[in-house]
Amino acid sequence: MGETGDDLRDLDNGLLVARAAEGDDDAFAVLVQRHSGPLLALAYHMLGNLSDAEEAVQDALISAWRRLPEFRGDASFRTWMYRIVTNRCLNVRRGRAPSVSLDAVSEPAAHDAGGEPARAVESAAAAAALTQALRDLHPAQRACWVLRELHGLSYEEIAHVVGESEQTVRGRLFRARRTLMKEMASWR
Amino acid sequence: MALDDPRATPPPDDPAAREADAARLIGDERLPCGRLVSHAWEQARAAGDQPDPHMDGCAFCRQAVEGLTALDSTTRTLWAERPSARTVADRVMRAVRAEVRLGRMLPLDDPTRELRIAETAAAKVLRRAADRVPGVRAASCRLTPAEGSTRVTIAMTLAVTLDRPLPGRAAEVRRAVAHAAEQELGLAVSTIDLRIASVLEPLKPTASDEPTLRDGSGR
Amino acid sequence: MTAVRTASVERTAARAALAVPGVSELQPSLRQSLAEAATRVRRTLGSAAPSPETGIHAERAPRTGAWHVEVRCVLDEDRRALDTARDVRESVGSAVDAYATRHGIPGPVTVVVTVTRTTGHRPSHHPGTTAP
Repeated sequence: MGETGDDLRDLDNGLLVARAAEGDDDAFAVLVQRHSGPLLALAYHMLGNLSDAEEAVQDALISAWRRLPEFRGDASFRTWMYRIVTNRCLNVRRGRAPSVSLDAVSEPAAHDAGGEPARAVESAAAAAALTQALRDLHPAQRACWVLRELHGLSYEEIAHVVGESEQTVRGRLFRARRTLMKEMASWR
Repeated sequence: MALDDPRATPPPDDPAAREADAARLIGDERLPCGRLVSHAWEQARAAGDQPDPHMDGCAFCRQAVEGLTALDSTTRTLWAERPSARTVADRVMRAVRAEVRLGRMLPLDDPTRELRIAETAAAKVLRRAADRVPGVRAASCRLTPAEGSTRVTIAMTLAVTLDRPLPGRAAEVRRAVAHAAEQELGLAVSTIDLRIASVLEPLKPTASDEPTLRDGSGR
Repeated sequence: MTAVRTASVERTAARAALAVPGVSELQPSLRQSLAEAATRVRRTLGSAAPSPETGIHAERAPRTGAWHVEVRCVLDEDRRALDTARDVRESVGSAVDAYATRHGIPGPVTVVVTVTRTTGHRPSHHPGTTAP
């Protein structure tokens, strides 16, 4: 009986989804624990603002809980969640004036490469520059770039997440990459 | 098939850009040396593994990949900026647990029929009972009350490892579920239908299909 | 007047239910955003839904004076749900009966107990209650 506490954690997503769809909130808790980190990172990189990102992910997860009974499982749970969060982020941005403060972005969660303060400062500055360049991208391009380069999704998965053809995804990705490279080259 | 002049890329907001998208395939660009920009990028990224003589001597290619290294290393920095999701996860679960989804009401085994348990609550206990059988994990678990009595039918789907004979294992699950239904809950069970829905990989101590999760969720 | 009395009966019932060994809490209210959805449901179904605030709903039939009390509770898993639910029924029944008699509103009492969830087996999912 003592082992049951950790039992749910080694269940795969499919089993957890089957249980959660029937209202098992403990199973859903494991899914939330498993996916909220990457999803928050996704929203954060999409929106550039932590509180907006948290709100988007919260809403997405709560709506997933309600919609789970209809979830057919033709996509993986992960892709499904990426899709919900990406859509939310795109909608947040659409409903908002483009001038969101960027200052909030420069101090995210503490991370320290350990050593060489000068280099740390430099790479933090580069990260800020990239963040800025990302914000200037068209949101649809940014979504593709973030999903590919930061989250490692395949073209096929990205196409499913953004609801476009793989070819469109490749095109967006190409343009995003080229713009960002230019920005980063000139920044140096 | 034809590659338009990519320098004329219209602003991405322009609807014409989206339409032209498909035609221009992925909007790749051919360099004067004959290579595609995307190819040059791939080569530059793979530089460590396979040296490319063309690349070393070609000014066009070098120009095309300028900034790629900077972008890639900065991308890694950006990836490291992962805010903790603890707060989000807590808030979500608070909302989810407050939003009780009770499902059907089932009679507990009491002649007055004034005592009931929510299907979701009972199912959790029964799934856990099945989970305790080695090599078995429960998926779906539905309970149906019989008309006009306190008896309840249990229908469960399972994922099982194939390292032991199924009939014996099913019997074990049946016993465990019946025992939990009677001793932990107090249900009068009429039948238990078991269906094997999927094959379970032999369990490793911690099988997580998502190595990244540990970073984000802490603990 | 009756509203006030009903509220007192509900409080009495809640106290009695919570005092039963094995009762962990009464079903918590549906909060905030969820209250909205609940209201919508109630509007469609009429007003018979139990009070979301307390997990207890009491009603007195105007003609017969009979009390009908519904208790929604979360139970500890250490005890069999059926046994705890029976105790809740007995305990709430006699508490309400005593209260109603004392206040001149007697009548037969029916108690319906609904177990909405059970807790306790999984310390790792309830960080607040973790014990070594």
